[in-house]
Amino acid sequence: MTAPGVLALFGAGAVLAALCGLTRRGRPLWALLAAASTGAGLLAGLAQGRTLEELLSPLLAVCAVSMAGLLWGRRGGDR
Amino acid sequence: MNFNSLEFLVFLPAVFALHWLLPHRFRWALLLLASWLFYFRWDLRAGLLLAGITLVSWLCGRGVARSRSRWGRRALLALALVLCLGCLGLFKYAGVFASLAGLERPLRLILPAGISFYTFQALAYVIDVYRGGAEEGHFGYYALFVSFFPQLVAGPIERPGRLLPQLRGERKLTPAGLSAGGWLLLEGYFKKVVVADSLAPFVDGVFAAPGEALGPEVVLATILFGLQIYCDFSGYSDIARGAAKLLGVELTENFRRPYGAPTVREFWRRWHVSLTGWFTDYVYIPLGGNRKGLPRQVFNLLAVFLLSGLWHGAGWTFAAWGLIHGLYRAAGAVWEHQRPHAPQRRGAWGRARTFLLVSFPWLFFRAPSMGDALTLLSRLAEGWGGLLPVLGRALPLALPLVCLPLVERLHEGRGERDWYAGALTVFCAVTAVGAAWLAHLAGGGNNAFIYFQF
Repeated sequence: MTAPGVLALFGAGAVLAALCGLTRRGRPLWALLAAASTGAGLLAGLAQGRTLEELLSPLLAVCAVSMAGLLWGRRGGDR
Repeated sequence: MNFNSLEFLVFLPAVFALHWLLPHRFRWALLLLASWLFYFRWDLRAGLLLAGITLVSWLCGRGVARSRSRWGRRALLALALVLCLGCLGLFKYAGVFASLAGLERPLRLILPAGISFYTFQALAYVIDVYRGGAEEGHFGYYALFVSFFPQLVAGPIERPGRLLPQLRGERKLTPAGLSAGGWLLLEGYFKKVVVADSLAPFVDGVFAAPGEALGPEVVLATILFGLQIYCDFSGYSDIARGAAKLLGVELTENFRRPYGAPTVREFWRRWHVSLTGWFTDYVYIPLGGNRKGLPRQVFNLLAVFLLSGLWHGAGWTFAAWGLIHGLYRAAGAVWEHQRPHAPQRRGAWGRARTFLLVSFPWLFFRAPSMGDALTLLSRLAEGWGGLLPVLGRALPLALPLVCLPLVERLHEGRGERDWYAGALTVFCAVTAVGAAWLAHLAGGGNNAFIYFQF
């Protein structure tokens, strides 16, 4: 997988994490897909020869989005 | 045993499981055994010193409580002070005194981990008993109070009236306690491993070569060190609180968003709260506090902050750090005396000004020597044309810093809103902590907690 592909996986993870925080419905699915996409991005990056230090920034971006969604996202809906 | 070691990640769950399986009357023994195992793993000799100080302070407290003679009580208090502070002085300052006297050090003394913390905690017990507080007649509970492993090596420095009743009382494991403890652990590890350890290489690089540093590098490294030491120390405190919460014990919140303080005075109500409280109650107030006029108050503030600086280590840089803060507080006291009704700037300007004021002394705190600190100060005017490349080098540090205010709110109950968002956050944060930890290990960086050296 190319470097843009790895970034795309992390990007998708961030978008899905944002959906998990912003939407009322489908949270289990968004959370699962976000985790899977982020994990896939990490593994693909490592397989490509990237170091953990290089992969930490996109990982933290997803982390920041998920934390923001947890702290200030919508309440209610699916649990 | 370090909090950020694999050993501890096995140790804590094992202690947690055994603790809640045992009946209440045996839990103190398990925790004491676990705490001594936690500490003795470092160094057997340091463990014997801890045991010695525990025994001496307990016996002195017992004597103070039971003595009918005023002079007897004073003598025992003085004995405890001399022995505990004497040990602290020997290990921390023997080298300095020997070199000042032109002598070679008779012994190579390794500073026992946590000595500054547990000696102060033991002294708090003896002083409180002297002042009329309750004696702890059970040596086991007292030994556990001194050596309780979550707070043994780097605080918070607990008071006997707060911790002993919790250790004695029957504790229950609740879902709220389990959740809060888990979030605090995650928060602590994130702040230490992801944020503090990410800032360290930039800071270390500048302070290792002061003669080559550019002005923007000096400024940025000083500010980043202030954030690094905050994340390192408050991260440790969060791990300590989280581990204690899992055992049903509530430790003092040692940091309360200090960099949001509008004044330096308020900063010291939020930074290393337990040490500030110790110096306030056992040094500042007995010296007279602010009750004996302004000149005496200024002297008391300078003395307390100088001692606070020297508590960190026997070095001019620590003394300078403490003295600068003492001057800030003294100036604040003079200002309040002259203008008692003047409004204080509490908005963004007040917070920004306070942040800059408290950042400056960190240069001295971090510098390896006074000479290096002065060299760095002399380099402040150099190389401002290279500001943008310096900022570019520091740009990767932006993301960990963006995560900091978010992760600090996780344990405040807001994480209870949604299970799936919470689970995703835990997954992302744990992955980030693991990745950062492995990355720092691979990079060969020193990931020890900064306050372990005190």
